[in-house]
Amino acid sequence: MTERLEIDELDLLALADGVFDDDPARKAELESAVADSPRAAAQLADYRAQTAALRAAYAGVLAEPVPERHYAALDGADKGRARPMMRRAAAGLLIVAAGMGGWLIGNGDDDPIRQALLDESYRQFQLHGSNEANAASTVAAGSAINWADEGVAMRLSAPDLSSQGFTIVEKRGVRIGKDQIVALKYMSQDGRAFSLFLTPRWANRPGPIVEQERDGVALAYWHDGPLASSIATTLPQDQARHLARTVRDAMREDAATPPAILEPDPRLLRNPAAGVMADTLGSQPGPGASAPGEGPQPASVTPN
Amino acid sequence: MQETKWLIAREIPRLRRYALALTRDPVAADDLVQDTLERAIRKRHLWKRHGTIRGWMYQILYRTFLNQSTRRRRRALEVDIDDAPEPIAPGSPEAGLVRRDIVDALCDLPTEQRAAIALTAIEGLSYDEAAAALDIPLGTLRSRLSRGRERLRANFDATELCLRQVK
Repeated sequence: MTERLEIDELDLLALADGVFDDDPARKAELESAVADSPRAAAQLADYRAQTAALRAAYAGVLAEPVPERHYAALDGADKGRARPMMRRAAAGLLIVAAGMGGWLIGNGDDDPIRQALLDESYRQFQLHGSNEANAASTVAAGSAINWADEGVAMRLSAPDLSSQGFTIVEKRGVRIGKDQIVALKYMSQDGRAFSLFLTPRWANRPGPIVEQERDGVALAYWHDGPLASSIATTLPQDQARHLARTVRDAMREDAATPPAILEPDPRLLRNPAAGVMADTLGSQPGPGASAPGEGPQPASVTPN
Repeated sequence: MQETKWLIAREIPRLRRYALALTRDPVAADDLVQDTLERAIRKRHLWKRHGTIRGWMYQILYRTFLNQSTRRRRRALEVDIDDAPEPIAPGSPEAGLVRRDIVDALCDLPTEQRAAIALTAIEGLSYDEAAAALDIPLGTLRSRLSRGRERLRANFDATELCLRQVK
């Protein structure tokens, strides 16, 4: 005989508040129990209606313009001082992020940070990209990436690519010295797969999608919003390009718009040469690491 | 420290929403956010980069709100009796005319329950994050949520959803 699951008010609250969104098994178990109890089902429906009504009632506040005095408050001694138009216009383009080990800055065509992330993406993809998905590691696409646990001040969500038929099947954190990369593996039901790598980066402006190809692995890099991102896949280059654009657009929808104020105070943590960042992961280069003389193919740029 | 300022600035829209849920008054909410920001900037050296800055900001805002509430109560005791609004007697016809939508229902809750529900249901914080922002144990948060949600249930008719937007 199947034992009937006891469900209490706190379980219902947690369900309504999305506490179990990261635990699909527990969520399904509780929802099944709720379905067997009209009283619990009614209570849960009420809680969910409350949440929906509250969110709708207060949704408009986020879209309102922020009073200038709030931004002025952040300037302390400069409080109340009008900002020159040029500075405001330039600041509107700023897209900055707190780095895991501090703040990174990169610019121009010769971009060692980009190259380092591409190197690491290739290496990680070779190490883990072809592994079979572990069902136990499945995570909800919309769930927060636990940056906070790693000492980063932002809360971000993994991009939801279900509209493209992709779901996340694996999530890993890769520590490289003081920096970390979040690696997300996506897979579709028809077997297409790619890996997405995210790391905080301070950049002066959004960057174009930069493509590379190495030993049959298509790589694409861009920095946008508060992050530097790259994907690695064995899919054809045109599909990789489409995926990169799709991921970038999905992340733009999720990311909070940076305030048009406050110029960054950039400081270079380091200026890694290509591949150095990847090699600091361990004393031995990984199996996917490029041997001397086998550097990356020239990058191509996809217009925004 | 400039990056801390940027991170704080990024949270202002959410702070305004949380403040509005606490105060219901847009002007008071913006005053509360202003006080919160000024306090956060003064105290930014205390933020240890443990957890999100959002949680830290919510914590400052709530403490500021509680402090202001204490001052408001004190001032209310000193208000001229002729300026005080006529209270609506419970059970009077006027009371029956009071519109009970979700915002009213939320604002009728005790502050601590309102804050707990605002952080979890509106701001989307996890229970751990909300408990930290309110500086209370997790069990206390659950208790406040439970009591507040049940009271909302009694006062808010989910069959007649009134999804009006605030402001």
